[in-house]
Amino acid sequence: MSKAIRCMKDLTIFSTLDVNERNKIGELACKRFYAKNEFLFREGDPADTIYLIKSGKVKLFKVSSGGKEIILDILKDDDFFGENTFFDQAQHNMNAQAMENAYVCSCTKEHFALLLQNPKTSMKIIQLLGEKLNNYTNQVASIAFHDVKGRVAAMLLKLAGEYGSSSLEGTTINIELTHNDLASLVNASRVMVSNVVGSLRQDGIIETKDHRFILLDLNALASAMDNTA
Amino acid sequence: MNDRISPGTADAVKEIESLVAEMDAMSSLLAEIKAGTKVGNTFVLLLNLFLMENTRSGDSKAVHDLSVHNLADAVNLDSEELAEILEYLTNRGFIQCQEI
Repeated sequence: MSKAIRCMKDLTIFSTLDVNERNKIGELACKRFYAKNEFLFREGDPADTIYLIKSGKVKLFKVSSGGKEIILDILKDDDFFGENTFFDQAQHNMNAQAMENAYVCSCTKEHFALLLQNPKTSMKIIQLLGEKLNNYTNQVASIAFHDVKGRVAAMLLKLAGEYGSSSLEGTTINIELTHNDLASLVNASRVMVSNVVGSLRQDGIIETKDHRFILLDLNALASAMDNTA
Repeated sequence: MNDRISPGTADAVKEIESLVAEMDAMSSLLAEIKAGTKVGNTFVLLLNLFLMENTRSGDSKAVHDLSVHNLADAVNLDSEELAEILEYLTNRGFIQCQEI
């Protein structure tokens, strides 16, 4: 992995703390490498650890009674998860799996409680939890109010906002994303998603290269989303 | 967790626990919707009815004059199953039902 590995204390979530406080965090945290497809935890495992991603992507998902993988979120650098740890004797209610090689920091709930004693850290965590709640709420609304084309457009715009990098060609979403992954994210069949992707590609709105989506026309994609609302 | 932190951060921890509980409920609902379960389908139908009706009751959107029988028909459930689902959604704070 060519990307420089930062220490937990350098994560954005702790950026408002002073040097001494950040050093304390460095002492409390554990670091671990997870290979692509490795599970960090599974649904039902005891929730006793908070995780913070230093590099790489992690997907959170559930498995339906029919065996279908339901992706709830894709997390990136600086995101944290395992929030159920905040509750005593809790269990994880979803699975976490590395989508690519990832370095992840972790700390126990006891250590995290120490970090919460700093109001700036508490506020930052409240802000991040609020954003995650909004993300779930928006996904529910998107599924309810958009057709498949609108949902694909909305998801690609969301992912571009979080993982996109701009170039002359367009905005590249820097995650390897199969049609199956996208279908799980927008709650549609792979065939439907493939049809929509094909149609958007034909209209010159998006392009795909090496399992990565390149958004060529953001305005047209936004229109495709709005027209189905 | 409250007993392991100083009293000064108790409010923040309470807020965090409340947000995590809401996130748990919302992520579970999202999974129900994505899995196409009876709970998920019922909630999506209710959301669309709210959108169509577009009336408000206090701070919330409201659908008036919706009979349990008609709703059960629309989501292809019997009244007992629907009652359980409405109770599930009510208990998690997603909807409120008022008999008229």
